[in-house]
Amino acid sequence: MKVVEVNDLRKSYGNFKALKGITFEIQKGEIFGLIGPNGAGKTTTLRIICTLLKPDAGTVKVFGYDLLKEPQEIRKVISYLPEDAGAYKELTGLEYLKFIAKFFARDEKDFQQIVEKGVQLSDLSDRLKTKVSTYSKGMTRRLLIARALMISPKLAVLDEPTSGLDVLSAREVRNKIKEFVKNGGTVLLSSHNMLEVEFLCDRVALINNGEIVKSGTPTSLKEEFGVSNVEEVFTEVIRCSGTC
Amino acid sequence: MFWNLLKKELREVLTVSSFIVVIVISFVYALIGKTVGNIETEVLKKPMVAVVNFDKENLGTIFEQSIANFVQIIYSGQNLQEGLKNLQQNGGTALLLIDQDFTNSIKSNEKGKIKVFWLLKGLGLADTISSSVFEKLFENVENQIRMVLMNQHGIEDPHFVLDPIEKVDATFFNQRTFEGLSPSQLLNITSSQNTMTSVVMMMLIIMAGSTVIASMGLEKENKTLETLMTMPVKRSYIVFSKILAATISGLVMAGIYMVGFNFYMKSFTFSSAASLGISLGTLDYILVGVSLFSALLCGIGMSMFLGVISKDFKSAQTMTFPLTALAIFSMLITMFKDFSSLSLPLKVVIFAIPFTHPMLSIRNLLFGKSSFVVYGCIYNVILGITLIILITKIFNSDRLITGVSFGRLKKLGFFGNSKLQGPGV
Repeated sequence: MKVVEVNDLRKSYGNFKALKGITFEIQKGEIFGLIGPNGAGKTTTLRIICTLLKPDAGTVKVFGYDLLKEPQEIRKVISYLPEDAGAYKELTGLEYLKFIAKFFARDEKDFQQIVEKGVQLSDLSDRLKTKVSTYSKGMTRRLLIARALMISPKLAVLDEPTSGLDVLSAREVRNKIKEFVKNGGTVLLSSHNMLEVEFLCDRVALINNGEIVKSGTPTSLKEEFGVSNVEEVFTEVIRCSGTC
Repeated sequence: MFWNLLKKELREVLTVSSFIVVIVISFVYALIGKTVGNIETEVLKKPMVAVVNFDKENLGTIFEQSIANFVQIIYSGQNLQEGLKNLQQNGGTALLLIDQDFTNSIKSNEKGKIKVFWLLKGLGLADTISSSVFEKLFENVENQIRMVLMNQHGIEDPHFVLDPIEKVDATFFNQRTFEGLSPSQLLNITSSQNTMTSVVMMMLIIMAGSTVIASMGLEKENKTLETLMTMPVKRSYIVFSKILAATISGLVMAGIYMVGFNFYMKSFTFSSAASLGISLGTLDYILVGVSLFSALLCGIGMSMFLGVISKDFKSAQTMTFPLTALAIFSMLITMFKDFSSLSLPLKVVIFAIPFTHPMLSIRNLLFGKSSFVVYGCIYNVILGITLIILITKIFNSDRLITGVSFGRLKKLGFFGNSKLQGPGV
């Protein structure tokens, strides 16, 4: 089942062409990674899929819902985690989780279940009762990952999910993403961390200058370029982009 | 969903720190009012004086008796040192030294001398009240002496000779005649209440406005707004909950300010407007409240617009300048000029600024011009709704993420760092 269908997607900011017609699909239960250098168009793609930006041309469908015609339906089934995001500093961690849960809960029982799941995912125990303003960067990221996954979205869109985290916290977040997919979720993520991409993603698309220059499974890409890891694939693809 | 958003927004704006700032400012003003004291009470209070009378004849005694009707005599005798000591110990206003030749000089057609030793307590405005009051009383006592002299010279009705003309004030203003009031008296009555509304409105716009601008800048910087906009909630709810929460917070602050300013302004109030038939009724106060609410709605809307076009928290802080300037301009223009005395272009400009309406509301309502206040409220509500629609449109477009382009204004650097920027690409 196709979760995301992106077809000839184009987006410009003034004279700058951020996306020059990208096309890809994501299947249910997949972890799909968008990788590329800074300014390649990864965040723009994620923001369009999450209904934050409107495309200039092309089509996007999420679970069959058209992005331009049914953005509200898309918002019901996705969860977006922006890069370097924060939470409301005047709320406690628990109040923040409750605030988000209210947008998705069908009834009181559902609300309690969502919050309970958020509490477990965050693993912040008693610190959830203190204000977000007192949290470290790692704690805030854990809270936000919990916020993104507690509502059991059909599609989680994660922009640099482990950005700024130490090794242990990053590993913990990666495990949570894997766990989420095991339970039937689908993930679209962007990352600069090639080891993370190799560990997490079922398929990746390499994006450069607003175009997808290569896509496939990490294994097939490594075989194609005859290299030992995705980082080398990435280097080769970016070096050869448009010339090799 | 709207209540969930509103509750969160209220938590964000109604913080302990914001209340502390407002309460402290309010308390400081109340304290100033208390320190300055009530001028009206000061005016009515009898000055304390010491009298040293070296004149043994009748005019010195008449002077002393006459002045006793207007002042509180704390010493009466013939010892100057003792008189001065008494004056200082009791915090009196002055010591009057009646010359030993006082009566004889007057009877010889020469001026009788009374030396006044003033005790100045300070150089503040309020410190000179008792001395200025005393000057007036001295004039009255002088009249008493004149009457005695006129009697001695065979004038039958010295009262009439001293005061042959009666001046009756009547001031015509706003199609209405105010009997028994001079323009300055009329101004005194209205300006105290008007000043309070103007100052409170200005402070509210600056405080609530900068809170909203900073909050929007912070939401952009933390990407909490981005997160919220990908959730199944109407964007108009997001906009309206933010504006409503800030307006509610503004009204709560207004209440606290009003209490503080009420104490402050009381110290400068000379007369009760109600006793002269110029006062506000319940409906008038409701209109002032509506005017305040609608202006606050517009101010918050403007702040939110400025917050929306800011890039982050830092650039949002520079955005507070145009709003602050507009609030201060509104306060000054409404304090120094009456709307009716302005030129037509200036009238249009003043009417177009939403903050001027509550600032002018009390003055207009005191003189029965309630229609002007109603029109002002209608204008503000229309402007407020227009702003909400405009902001919702920005929320529904890419502009919230990509920034708003203002062409020439931006080239001039008017909006600081809020340049159109690539949204992370």
